[in-house]
Amino acid sequence: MPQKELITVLVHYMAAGKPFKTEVESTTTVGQIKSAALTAFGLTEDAQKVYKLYYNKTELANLNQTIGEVAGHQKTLNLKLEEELVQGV
Amino acid sequence: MADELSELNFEQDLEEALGVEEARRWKIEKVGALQFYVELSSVKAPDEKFQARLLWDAYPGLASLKFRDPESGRLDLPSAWPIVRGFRPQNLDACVNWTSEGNNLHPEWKNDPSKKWNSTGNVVLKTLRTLQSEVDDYFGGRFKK
Repeated sequence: MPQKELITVLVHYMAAGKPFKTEVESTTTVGQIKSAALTAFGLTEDAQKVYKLYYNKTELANLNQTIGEVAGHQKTLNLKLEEELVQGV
Repeated sequence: MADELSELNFEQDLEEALGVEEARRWKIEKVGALQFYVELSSVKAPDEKFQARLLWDAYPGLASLKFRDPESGRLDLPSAWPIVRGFRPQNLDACVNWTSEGNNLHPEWKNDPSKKWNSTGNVVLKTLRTLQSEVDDYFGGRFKK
């Protein structure tokens, strides 16, 4: 039986010197990666405090999307985890 | 005056920040216990240099952000500031949720979980990366009267 190819996912967070790194199957969802990254960085989110995952400058808003769909033919995927910045007037 | 724990945490985080890849874009000069200058520029205008001063009363926490004229050392010149969203050169402050000035202007942000800036992790690095990202993405040139 052929081995499934894994995708290396790196999640970069502003307050961490090193990214969270994991190797996953292409069927892994964005939501699963986000959850693992939040845990790795010691972050929690709730209805009010939300972190967002970005690929390049595009928000990965669909947490059911698979990593394979995001990565395409790439074997390594670099994502950014960000929290909302607010400006006053 | 900064306490020893603040200074120790600050030193460790600054050292780690100096080691990340993006640090090649920063020229950092530590000038106080919880204070440094950082020279940086936008990807949109790499030759237009700005010198920010980041200062913490206690660390970790929110930093005070000012821009400094390197020749005179003055922190009160609007022309030392880049035009970036939330920055107010004429008031010499940045009204954003990741600076102490912004949170002093909007104390309600600290009580709003969606707007409260998370000060966990390496806050020196987080502040530097946030500043760099904002200057890269929202740069509108140097402020001129």
